[in-house]
Amino acid sequence: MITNRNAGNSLARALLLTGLGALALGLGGCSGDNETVAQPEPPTGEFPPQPGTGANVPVTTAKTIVASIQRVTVPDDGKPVVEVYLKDDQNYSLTGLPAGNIRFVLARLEPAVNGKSSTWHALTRRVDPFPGTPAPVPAEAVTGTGPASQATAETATSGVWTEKGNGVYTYKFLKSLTGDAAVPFDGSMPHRVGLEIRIGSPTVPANNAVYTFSPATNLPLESSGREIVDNDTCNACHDNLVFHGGARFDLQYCAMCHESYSFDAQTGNSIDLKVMIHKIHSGVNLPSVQAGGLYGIFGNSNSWNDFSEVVYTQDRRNCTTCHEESDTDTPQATNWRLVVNAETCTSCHDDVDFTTGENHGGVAATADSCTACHGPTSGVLSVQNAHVIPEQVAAAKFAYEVLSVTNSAPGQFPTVTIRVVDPTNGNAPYDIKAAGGPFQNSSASLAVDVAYSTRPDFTNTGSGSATASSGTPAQPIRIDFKANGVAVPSIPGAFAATATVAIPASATGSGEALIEGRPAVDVNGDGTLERIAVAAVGKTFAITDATPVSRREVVDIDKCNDCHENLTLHGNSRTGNTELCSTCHNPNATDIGRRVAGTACESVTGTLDDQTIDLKFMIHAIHAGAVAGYKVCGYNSTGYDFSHVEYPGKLENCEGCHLPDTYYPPNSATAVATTIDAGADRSTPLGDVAITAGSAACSACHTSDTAKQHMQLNGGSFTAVKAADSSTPAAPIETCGNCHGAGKPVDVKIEHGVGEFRYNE
Amino acid sequence: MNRSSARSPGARSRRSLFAVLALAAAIGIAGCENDSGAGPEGPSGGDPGQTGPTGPTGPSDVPITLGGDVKGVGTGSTLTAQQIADIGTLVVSLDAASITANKPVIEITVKTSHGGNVLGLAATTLRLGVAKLVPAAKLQPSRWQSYINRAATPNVTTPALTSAIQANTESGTAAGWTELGAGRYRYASAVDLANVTAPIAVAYEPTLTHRISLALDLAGNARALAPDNPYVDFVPAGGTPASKRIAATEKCASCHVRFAEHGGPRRDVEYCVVCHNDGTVDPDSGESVDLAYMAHSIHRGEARTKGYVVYGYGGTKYDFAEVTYPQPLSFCETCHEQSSDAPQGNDWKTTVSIGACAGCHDAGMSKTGPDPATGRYTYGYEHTNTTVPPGFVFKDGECIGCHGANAVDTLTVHRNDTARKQIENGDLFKYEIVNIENAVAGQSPKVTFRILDAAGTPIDVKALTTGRLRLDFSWSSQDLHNVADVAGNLYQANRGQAIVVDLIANMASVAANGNGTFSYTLSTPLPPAFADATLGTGLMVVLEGRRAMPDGTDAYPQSAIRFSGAPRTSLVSQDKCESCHKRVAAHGGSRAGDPMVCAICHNSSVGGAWGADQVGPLALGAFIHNVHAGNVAGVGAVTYPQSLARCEGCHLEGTYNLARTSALPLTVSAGTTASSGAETLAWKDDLADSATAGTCKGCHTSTEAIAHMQSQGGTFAQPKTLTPSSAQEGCAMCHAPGSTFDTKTAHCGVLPVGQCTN
Repeated sequence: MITNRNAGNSLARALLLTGLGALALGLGGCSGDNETVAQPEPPTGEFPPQPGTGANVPVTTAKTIVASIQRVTVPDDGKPVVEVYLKDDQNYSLTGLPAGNIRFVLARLEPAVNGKSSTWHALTRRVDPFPGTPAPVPAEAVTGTGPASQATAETATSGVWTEKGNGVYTYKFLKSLTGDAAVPFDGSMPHRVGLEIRIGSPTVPANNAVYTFSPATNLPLESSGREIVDNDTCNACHDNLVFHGGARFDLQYCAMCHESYSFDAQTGNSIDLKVMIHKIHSGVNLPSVQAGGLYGIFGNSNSWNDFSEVVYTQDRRNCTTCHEESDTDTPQATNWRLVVNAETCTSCHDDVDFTTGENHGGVAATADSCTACHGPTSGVLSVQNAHVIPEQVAAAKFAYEVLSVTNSAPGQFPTVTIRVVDPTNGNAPYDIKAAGGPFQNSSASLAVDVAYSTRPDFTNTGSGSATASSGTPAQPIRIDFKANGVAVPSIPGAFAATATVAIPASATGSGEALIEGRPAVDVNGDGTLERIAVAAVGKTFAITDATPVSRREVVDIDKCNDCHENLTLHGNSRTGNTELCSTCHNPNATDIGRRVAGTACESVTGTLDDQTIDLKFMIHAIHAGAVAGYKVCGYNSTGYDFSHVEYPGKLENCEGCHLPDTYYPPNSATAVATTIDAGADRSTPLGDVAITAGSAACSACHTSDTAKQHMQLNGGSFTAVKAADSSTPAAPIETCGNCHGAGKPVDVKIEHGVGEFRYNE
Repeated sequence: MNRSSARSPGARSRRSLFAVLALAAAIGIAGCENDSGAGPEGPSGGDPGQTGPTGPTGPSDVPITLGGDVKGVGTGSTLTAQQIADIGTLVVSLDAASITANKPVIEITVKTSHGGNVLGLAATTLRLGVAKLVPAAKLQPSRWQSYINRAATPNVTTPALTSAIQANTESGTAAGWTELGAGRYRYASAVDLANVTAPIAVAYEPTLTHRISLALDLAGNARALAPDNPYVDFVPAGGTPASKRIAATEKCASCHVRFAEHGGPRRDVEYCVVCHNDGTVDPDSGESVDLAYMAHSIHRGEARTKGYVVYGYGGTKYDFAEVTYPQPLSFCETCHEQSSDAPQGNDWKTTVSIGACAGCHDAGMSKTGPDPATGRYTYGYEHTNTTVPPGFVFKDGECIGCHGANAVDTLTVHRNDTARKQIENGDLFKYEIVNIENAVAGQSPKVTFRILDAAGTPIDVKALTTGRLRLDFSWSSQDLHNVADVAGNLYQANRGQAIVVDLIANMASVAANGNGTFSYTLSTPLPPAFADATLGTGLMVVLEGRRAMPDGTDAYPQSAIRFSGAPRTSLVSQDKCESCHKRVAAHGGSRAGDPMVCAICHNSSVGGAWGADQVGPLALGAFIHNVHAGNVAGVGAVTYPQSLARCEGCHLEGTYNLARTSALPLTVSAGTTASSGAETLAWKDDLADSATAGTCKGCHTSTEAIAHMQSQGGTFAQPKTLTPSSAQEGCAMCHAPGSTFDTKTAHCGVLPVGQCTN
């Protein structure tokens, strides 16, 4: 049985099969009555069905278009005839799509030869003029030498676009498969027709569809043999990624033009996906960029797209972040480690010269000889092994455990018992005190942060992290296990230590103790110790509660790691646990402790006034980039300016980071106002100036005066003053939830369009 | 290819079969050609005849908003609110009408506003009118006579009549009602035209013009769906029908937008007249509800000698004695003007009847009857002016002797009306300001202007001694305020009004330029606040004043406006004012035409007491909202003839979401300032409303609305500041264009379909 995942959905697959049925009937038709031939009625009804099983509606009224290519036939003139079905997500059949709103690409897959990758080869092509108009700027980016060939799409006004009715259309290409001396017809190659429906005029929803077939058999192909990366992989970070006026978003369509025969004339750069995507994501880390060069592409109307400042938020060696071999939709996801050639490798290693051997160990090489050293069976030099990240391997050998927290009532000095084990060795415990061990060197650390309270939020008031005029306010009680851990004889491998600061008498509810720290080992034999990022773990404990109550869960570390792979900060000592972040990055904490005159902190941020480091403001503000212009000071009074952050997703997709429905406006029972000025006495919240909780979360992105005015008019305050218990008794009550709560007239979830992000899990 | 007509299941299955054959054959041809040896290799292999899985089931109905059908409408009582909103309005066409066996038979098609078919409509929704046009006779105009009548009994305790004949409509009955499919229906009336004997006898005269007209009256909330009323005029015996169409519904619509009378279904003049003719009398009041008499009486309103009162369904009293018609009634053309929809629209100039005249001129009318045989009154008329001797009572039909085309015809009579003359005379003059110089703080601005006569010739302004002629000066263009000194707490003129210069009294300072233009230089220099960092700058000058005509009447010329720089933003249009007002000419007619003229004094600084009345803000936006909402005591209870929610009845699109961002707080009280004397120049003691809230509250008067405005930064009667209110009001967050509660869509949401704009 033939299936065709190219059609993009199960219905299309069903339609394809019924189409084949019709094909079979057609063969029988030769011997039958040819009278009906004069009536080219479209396929309708049950066999084959309409594109939608519902009624016809004008395409201009559709909220979505689900396009599918049901069949491609190649008549004698070699100009393929494409049968297109249009429906919407309600299964209405869509009528009236004008030719000007749809474009087609015709391509074939050239086989892999001489060590090269197989590649799409678009037959619909154009010449990208050089220098073109308007003149490309900046001049230093113009490294091209002449016009370049590019794949292009044929607008359906070029060929013959025919609406058959009931959502069925046909398109006969202007471009012929035959008669092109430069690309002689070869029916044995997989061919593909792709389409894009453009928003255009009239305005309709965009869509892409592809259909892969063999001209030799006139039958669709299950796979082209070149399906390497899946759309959901891109969209894990990029949230509904679209390009070229909103019309192009299906990687299987992108690949038809972004093939190895297409170049940007202005730069001379390849726009082949495997080259361009690797280079874009390498960004600042590209060797050529590190050497002072630019990397970018001149796009439509010679607009300059500079990728030289792209910061990829994880280690580029995580090839499998995009090349997901477990995804059955991408059977060629293994190509990253199986197909090795100069084009692919230099897309990241762009300082390698295979002719001279420069940056290749001095070894000159030819394009077809790469697998000799880097092939899948080539040992340490295989692509797979060469991209192994030793720290990741080492990290797998460590796992933290918090075994118990005792003496945690108000006024008591809590004792915490922990253990570090090796999951790769039957969870054998480490002796964290062993001299020369992974935790007993100057690069290593191991500590437990005792934070309180989980409700409404950690503020750690009374922990002594700051005096009136020094230190960082509101930090948890820190127990240093590297120095003070004492083996617990009764539990193999366990170590205990007791805080030197008591849980304050005023503390209530529950707290949490979390391990932070990093073992340091020499993972690569270079004689220096690498800091290994090991995921933090914690344990809640009761202070006045009968049983411990956890802090609210609003984000999912897996969502962080969609883009960050393995989120770790502070020199790899705080890893993979947002709850750990929240113990320090709490509503009462600011960076005042890092605000030292004359340091980079002052020069980068331009002020010695403190900045909140509260997670609910800081994370929004960092990812909002230029909108928020968040600047903050960190370890050793280093200044950080996050206003250059370009968030790769869509900020309005709350569930890009948040758990479902956890992003509704907080109130004073569920959150604490965000301190923006730690006041005259850092050791207490009393007198701190704060933004009320809902306004703090929202105003990080919604920075306009109108928005702030709106918040203030509805109970928000940007000048609230805290009492000793972190409340803001004189501030008004935020009433955000009255309108922005779940099911309310301006529901945050609906207003942000969270439901439109189809790649959210 | 239009496939939309074949949507029934039967048609679909037939087409499906056909399509399969066609497809099969099309592919087959390719195969045949392959056999001939040409072209690429044909399809082979595959799995012939295998039937694939069927696709998911989608909705089989097209949404109503996309032209889908509405099924099982019945009386409409089961339609959901969403369906009603989606349908918008019904659209009915009268496809055929005939008299068969002396009984009317009609065929209609009922669609949604999106073109979908209305299916399963109940017979009982039909309201059928049948009338004949009795030709003009005895020097009296033609008149409609309904075949369907009733003897109406009164509801009030002391009725004028014990019973009265009224024309009526026939409600559709299931027996005569046939659904033909695709939104089409046939109705065979039970009314036997040849046998109408009760309550009055009406002879069937098939050689006369007959009218069949209908309304559809659905139940419950679906009544709002009532379509416009179709009608057809025809002669049952054959021949060209006569016409009596004297007022187009479109004319009514210029003020009333869309009628929805008698609970909704009666919308069109040509349907109204089937019943509202002189054969219909209200027994409670004894008044005729003949449309000519009734419509004139209603619009004459408070100007009538005796207020027009009638009693409607269930004895509900309708008292039209307080109707405020917003233009001179003597502009008969406002309603009666010949057009394709009103071919007899000019008949009023040559056709006279007591019933029509006495609607307005009710003082001299007398009547006898109604005649029990016809249900009609017989009228007499005694002129109350001096040209006709008193006690001389004319009978219907005699009017034409004097008021026909050859004597004091009705057009001439009405053009003699003083109020009409003032406006028509105004068009004999054209005021123009041709230049403003020296509009700079510390300097005296010089204004050059001229007045053209009807022939376009400049008149000698220096020779003017009668009427009024004034130059008004105000600033600044971004929001007129007339503050002279911000820190010094001074308005330029009393209470922030414009500087008004009486040119006739100061004619010595008017310089003739010798080219028909004249110049005047303001005697005082513009103050420091004329150019202010916050308040902006820019001078507005108006040339205004009524003229005195040789015949003793006045002329209300349109005032002239000029700005020294960018103009103040226009929010409303003169055309829209004049769709109801004919011409806005206030303050003795001196300030007329473009409503921008008004803004020169009706600015943010002016408010509080006006004469004896506390009127609150006199700033134009707030004041005009208040006037039309009936909130201004000195203006009284205005009977606004359409929904106040139809913002674009007055406003230009995009101008009414919020107050302009430059709008200053609106003075609502001159504070401690006395009504005269030097203190009236102080601005700091004023109390003011914030600009948007102060305007919105004109219509949104509830305590909840006021509280909402206050909670969102609106303030009322607070000490005046000269900071634009947009700095404090948070309205924009939700009510700006495109926002969640966009002012436009929020107001449209409460309007019937089709009334959102224009």
